[in-house]
Amino acid sequence: MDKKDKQGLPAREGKFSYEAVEDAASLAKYLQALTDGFASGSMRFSRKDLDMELCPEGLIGFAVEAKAKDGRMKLALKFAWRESVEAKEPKNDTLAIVPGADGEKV
Amino acid sequence: MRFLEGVEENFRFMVLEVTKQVENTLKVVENPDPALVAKIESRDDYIDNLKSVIENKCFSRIHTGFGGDKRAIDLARAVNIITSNLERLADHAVNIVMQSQYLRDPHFIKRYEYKAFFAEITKALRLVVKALYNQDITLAFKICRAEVTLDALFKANFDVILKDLRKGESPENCITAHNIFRYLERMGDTILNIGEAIIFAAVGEKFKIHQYEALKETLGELGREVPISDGEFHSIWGTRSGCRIGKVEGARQGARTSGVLFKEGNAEKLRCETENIRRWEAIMPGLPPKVQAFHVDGDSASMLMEYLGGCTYQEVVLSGAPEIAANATFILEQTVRQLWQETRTDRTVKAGYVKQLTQRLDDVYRMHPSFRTPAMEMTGVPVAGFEALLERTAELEALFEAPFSVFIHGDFNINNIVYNHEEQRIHYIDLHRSKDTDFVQDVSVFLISNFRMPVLDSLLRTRLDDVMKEFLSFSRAFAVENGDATFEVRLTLGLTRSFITSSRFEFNHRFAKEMFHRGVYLMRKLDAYRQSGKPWEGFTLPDDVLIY
Repeated sequence: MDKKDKQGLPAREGKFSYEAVEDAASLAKYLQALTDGFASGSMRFSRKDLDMELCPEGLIGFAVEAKAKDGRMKLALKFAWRESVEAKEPKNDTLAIVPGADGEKV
Repeated sequence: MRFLEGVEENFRFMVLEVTKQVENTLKVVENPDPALVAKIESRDDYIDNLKSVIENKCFSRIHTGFGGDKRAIDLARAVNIITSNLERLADHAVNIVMQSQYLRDPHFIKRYEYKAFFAEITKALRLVVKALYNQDITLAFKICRAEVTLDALFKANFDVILKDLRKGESPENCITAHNIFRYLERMGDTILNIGEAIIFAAVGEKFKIHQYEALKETLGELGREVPISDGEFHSIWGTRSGCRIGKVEGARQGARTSGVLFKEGNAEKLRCETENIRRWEAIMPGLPPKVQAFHVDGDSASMLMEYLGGCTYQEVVLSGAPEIAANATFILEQTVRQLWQETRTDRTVKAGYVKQLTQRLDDVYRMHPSFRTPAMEMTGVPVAGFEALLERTAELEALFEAPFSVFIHGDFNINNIVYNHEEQRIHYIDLHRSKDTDFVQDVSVFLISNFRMPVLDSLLRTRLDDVMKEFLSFSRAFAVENGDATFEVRLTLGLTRSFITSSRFEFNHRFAKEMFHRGVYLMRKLDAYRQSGKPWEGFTLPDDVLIY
């Protein structure tokens, strides 16, 4: 389960999904919010056990898929990008072997 | 019996061997002969082996699935059940032989009616092969009856043994005799299982013999012959809403009555249904099926109803010619209009759609746990959690009531409506939920029963769309004519209820989700409208919600 960050900062990992039936008018609200998110460089997704922020920046992969068959239509939009997460290199990544007596904690 | 090839011979031997064991057991009881005792014991091993052979063959056949031939699989299952019961019966024969050696006086048993037990058992065993191979229910029924006779014999002999014990007869003899009768009585239980397995093979359903008893008594009260002796018993729908329904066909062929429908189940529920049928009959003669007999036995009851010819409205819509389907819809609407008008009472009612939904919500979650959705926020757009939305809908619903009540069907599914093309009329069936309430309840159930048909073919889907569109505009017109100003809101609530609760019967998760989301969508529409503060008279159901 995703937990909110201790300092109240949004999480940088997690998974959020939402599915619904909407009409075009109510859909516009969500699309507008996403557009705003791209413009401002921040999108926040939250529910009671998750508060996650995506900050689209740099290059953004973009895919559109539209399908029509037997009167059943489908439009899929997909965005993908990379964000810098603070992946810290361990400060001291050399293996240290410390001499010590058997059975003793070192 | 093509599918019994390879098992048939073993099975005949099995029945024959077990019958022989029983006959030899009788001989030992009458005249203890150590050689015969030894023979019986050794034959028991043979019977055990035979049982294993048949069991292996049956399982491998069931496993390969006969290419989906249900009757063949049922038969293999039945053979397996019968064989294991025969083997148990043979074990009891050995038990009896062992017990008989404890009789101090080998002739002591002769004072009791032991012969009658053996006669009954061998008589039943001789019917097994024929009953199974011909799938003869009358014979299977006779086999089952043996158990009743054996129970009665046991009781009678038990009483005599008790009396003898009180008189001071040898306890060793008396108790041994009692043990022997107890094993004979248990043979009866295995015979009952055998008879029921044959019925299973014939009708393809597990059927308990007491249900036949109920059928027999119901027919008896009607002064009719038991039809299973000259007719056929069809199990058509199996168990629906806790009642077992089967169709009994006699030789007689009539225009309207081609048989009777047998229903067995909870007494209260069936009593309720007969009550409703009476009322429907008074409102519009011939609308419901006629109840021909009703029989109560403790908590359960059975009834015989007229089997209505014709086909269900569902069949007409999906497979009838377009002009016949259109005609059926026309007659249905005429009938519904007349019934609504004639049973209309100027008494406000609340159907309580949200309550109905809430009562079934656990079942929805059990089937689809992911439907339990919490509140969320997406890039600044809040999304209400499902249960919070439901609470708001309940508050909203409290503001509305139907301005009048009508006597509704109560389970107005398209398969509970029968259309008779020859007579150009509609019948209602499955009437245990009829009551005086909001007609919108029937309207929404009817609409969703079309929507939820698992049909994707665009031609058939269009047919369903048309039925829904037509019935919706018909209902709207009725509402307007009757000055029902809150029809649209109540219909939206009714559809919400039906969309969401229907998902609990839908195994296809995608389609279940589709219905659930539509229910949620409607609740959000109502909620948004309420927040807009506009007068409710202006609210309209978004019709598109019915188009899948």
